[in-house]
Amino acid sequence: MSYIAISPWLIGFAVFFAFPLLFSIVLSFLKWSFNGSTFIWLDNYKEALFNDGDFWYSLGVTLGYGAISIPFTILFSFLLSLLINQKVKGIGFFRMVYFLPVVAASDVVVAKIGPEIFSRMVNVNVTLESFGIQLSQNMQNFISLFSTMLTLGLWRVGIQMLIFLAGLQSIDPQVYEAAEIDGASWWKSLWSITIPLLGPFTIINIVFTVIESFTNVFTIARVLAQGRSVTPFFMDYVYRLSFEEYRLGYGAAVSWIFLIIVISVVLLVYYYSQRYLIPTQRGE
Amino acid sequence: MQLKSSSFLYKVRKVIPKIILYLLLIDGAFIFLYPLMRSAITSVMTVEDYLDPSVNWIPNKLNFKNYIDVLEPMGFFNALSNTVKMTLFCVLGQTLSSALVGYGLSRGKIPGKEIIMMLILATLVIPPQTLMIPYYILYHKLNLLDSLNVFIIPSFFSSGIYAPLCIFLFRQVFNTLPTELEDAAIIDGADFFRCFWYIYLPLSRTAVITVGLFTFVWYWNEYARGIIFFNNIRTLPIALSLLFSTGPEFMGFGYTNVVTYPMMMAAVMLTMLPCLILYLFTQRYYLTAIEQVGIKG
Repeated sequence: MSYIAISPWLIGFAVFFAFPLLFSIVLSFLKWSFNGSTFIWLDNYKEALFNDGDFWYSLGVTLGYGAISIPFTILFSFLLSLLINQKVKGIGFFRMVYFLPVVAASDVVVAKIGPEIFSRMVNVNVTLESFGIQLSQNMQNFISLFSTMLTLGLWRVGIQMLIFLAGLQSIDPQVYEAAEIDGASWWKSLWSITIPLLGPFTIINIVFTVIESFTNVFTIARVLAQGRSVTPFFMDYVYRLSFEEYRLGYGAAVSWIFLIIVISVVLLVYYYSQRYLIPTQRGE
Repeated sequence: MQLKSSSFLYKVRKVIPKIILYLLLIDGAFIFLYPLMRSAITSVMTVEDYLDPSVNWIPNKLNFKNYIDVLEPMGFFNALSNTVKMTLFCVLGQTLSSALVGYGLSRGKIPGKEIIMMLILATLVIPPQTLMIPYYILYHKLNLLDSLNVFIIPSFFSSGIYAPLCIFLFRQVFNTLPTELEDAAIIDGADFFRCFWYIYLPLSRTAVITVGLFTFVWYWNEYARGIIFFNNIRTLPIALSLLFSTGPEFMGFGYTNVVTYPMMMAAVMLTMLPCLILYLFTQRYYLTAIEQVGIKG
């Protein structure tokens, strides 16, 4: 009986996950076309790794974007969660507002209102110019895309914020009371109580943000560029290869390399954050 | 006298952090609302007002004509009916299937169900774009491309957007319900599915609503897969993304025609409004979703 209950997932997993995944491995060994394909085995991979400048460029940009956006996102959502964890009147309203962009502003909406509005709020190019740094048009475009995406990302940290909030609320208030009696300042208890006890939540958040920032930036970048200018993000590169140039075999190979990279980054992050963020039970 | 001043000081010391806190909160709220307020205001501006630098927040003339003018080039009603159809079916499919699977994984007698749950969650790590290419070929062969079924069918097999999270939420919620209920019902002659349908599902009403609401938003806003699978079908996000996409370059982003910008914002508002209204009335389900999952490290 219980197998019937999970059967939708079993079927879905086989048809919509396992099969496509295996199929894409096979595809990545093929020189693919709609009227017949030939096996070329690892040639797609060799091509990508050794001969494709665009591949390395988009990979670098995407990893760089992740490296910048992930710490910012975590820090920002943590600060926000501290803010909305306060027990004051009307806090429900503020929580509602802070989470609003996640629900209301879809990727396309964000991409449409983004450039105009966020460039009013944060304009890196103007700032750089005021420091006397002149950049080429290409570089300026790149920077405005990059900074817009970062701001847009920070605008929609609602999920991470709520995860941290759930963490903060899981901490027993008595711990803080005890610390206060012992004379610990707010700052001190933040460092020695809040952050260590939030460890598991921070890990979930980091893993979530890693996945998000590597895979989901695609849409915004795609709409921002509107197919006209080429965005340097990796997923957009795969999209162009596959659905504009119809090099599906090569696209599959490239996306497999990316998949392996994403999984290794997630595992690394998981491993290291577990080592440093979970308080070890020394002295027990 | 002494007493009075010290109590006054005490009050001040209590009030000042509160004021700072409120200032910070309001500041944050402003930052989060600013882009939305800006586009809402721009959507009712005339082009002259939009270009006039002296007009900042209050337009000289409210121009609701933008909303009417944009319906035609956007193909609004067609896109709306497609989006509504797709979203409602997918909400139904995703909620039902993930509730059932979550129930199976919580109450079923399946060896290694913890491992299955981990496996389900692990599928989230796979970048969806890796699967896009095989999907594309699969749907091409099955002649499913360009129909809403490419979204509706997977959602009934708990393979929709973020389905693993929905399954996880249901499993967690079912895990917190006492098993005695089930035992009692089975003694009374109810089978596994009756227990699910008549006892556990009604008891986890909040989870059902939460999953439904999140699914609604995810599908309403779906773009990345739609743009690949649909050639002629327009959903609202796709219609919005294609709207006025032939303007001059703007900061390298390749659009934003100043003449059509207010109309574009009207289109943005139209696309976003249903989710916005839904959220305003049901926000507590969104905001408590994480608590319902009850992560414990």
